[in-house]
Amino acid sequence: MGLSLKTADSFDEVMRLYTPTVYRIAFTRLKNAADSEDVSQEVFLRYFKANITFQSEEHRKAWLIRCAVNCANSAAGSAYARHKDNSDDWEQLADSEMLSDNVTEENFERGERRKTVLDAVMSLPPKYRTVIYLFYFEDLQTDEIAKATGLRGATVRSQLSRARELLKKILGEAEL
Amino acid sequence: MSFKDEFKQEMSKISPTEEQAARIRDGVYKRLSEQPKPTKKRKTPLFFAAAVPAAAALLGIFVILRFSLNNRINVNENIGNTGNAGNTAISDDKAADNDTAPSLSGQDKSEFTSNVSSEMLGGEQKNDITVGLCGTSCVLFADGEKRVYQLSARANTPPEGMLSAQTENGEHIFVQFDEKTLTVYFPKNRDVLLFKTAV
Repeated sequence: MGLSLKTADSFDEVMRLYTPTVYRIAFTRLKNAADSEDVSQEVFLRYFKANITFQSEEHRKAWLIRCAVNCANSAAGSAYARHKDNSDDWEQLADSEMLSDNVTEENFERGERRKTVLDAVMSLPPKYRTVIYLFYFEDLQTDEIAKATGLRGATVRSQLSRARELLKKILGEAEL
Repeated sequence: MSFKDEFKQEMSKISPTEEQAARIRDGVYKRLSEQPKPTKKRKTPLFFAAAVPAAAALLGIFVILRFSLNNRINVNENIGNTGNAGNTAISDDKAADNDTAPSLSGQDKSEFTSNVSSEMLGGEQKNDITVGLCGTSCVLFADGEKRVYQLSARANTPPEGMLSAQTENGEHIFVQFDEKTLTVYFPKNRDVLLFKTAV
C-alpha cells in the first residue's frame, strides 16, 4: 500500500520531517538562508501538487531530494541569483557561537575548526558541494546520489573523488 | 573526529529555525490557498498568426491562377489565331468530357493534321459562309441567314463533310452546321470548336 499523503496533517508531518533536509540541500547550493527558504517552499508546493503515491519512505525522501536539487539549481541559475551578492550565511553560525557569552577557549577552537570544515566544503564548486552533502550527511550511496541528482553513477563517483581531492588540499587531511 | 562526523555536526547547525520552518510552512499553505491564476493563453505572435493563412491563401491563388491562365492562354492562342476576340476561356474539362473526341497530343496531332486536306473535309466551296467569333459566341452567316451559337466544347477531330468557309477576317476555315450545332475547324492551328445554338 502506498503512502499517498493528501490530508493536511500528513502533509504537515512530511514538512516537519523533511524541511531540514530540503533546506540544507538548498543552502548547500545557494549559501543563502532566504533563498533556501524559497526553494523549500517551492519543493513542498510541488510535492503537494504532484500527489504521488510513494512506495516507501525512502522513495519519498529520494523524490524530495531530487526535487530540492532541481529547484536549487534552478534558483542558482536565475538572473537574480547570478547577480546578487551571496553573503555566506553559514559563517554566521560559527561566528555567533564564538561571540556568545559562554565562549571558552575550547569552544573557540571548535568554532574555528568547524568553520574551516564548512569553509572548505562551501568553497567547492556547487556540483561538488551537493555530492559531498548527500554522501557524508545524508549517507546516500553513489547510486542513490545518481538517482537523486539525475546524474550517472560514474559521474557521481568522479565528482566525489575530485571533491575529496580538493578537500584534502584545503584541509590538509590524509583521509576523508 | 573524522571529517564525516565533523561535517555532520556542522551541517546539522545549518537547519531552519522554528521561525524559518514556520515561514516555509505558512508560505506553502498560502500559495496553496491562492486561487490558481488563469494562465494567459500565449498569443501567437502576429507575424505567425497572419503569415500562415496568408501564405496558404497566396498559394491557393497562385495555383488557381496558374491553371486558369494556362487554360486561358491555350484557348486564346487558338482563337486568337483566328483573328477574333481572344478572351474565350474553354476548360479542358469540357474537352475531356467529350467522349467522342479522343485526345490528341504531340505527334498524333501533327500526323492527323498532315493528313487532313480540304478534300477530305468535303471541300465544297461556299464563300458565302462567314463565321464571326466574339467571346464564346459565334455568329454564322450562311445563305443570307444569321445564326448565333454558343461555344460548348472543343474536339480534337473534325467531322467529315465540312464546308469551306471564312472568318470575318478572311481566314480560311471549315464549318459543319445544322440548326442546333456548329463545328468549326481552324486548319491553321488545328483546333476544332463545337458550338450549340444559343438559347
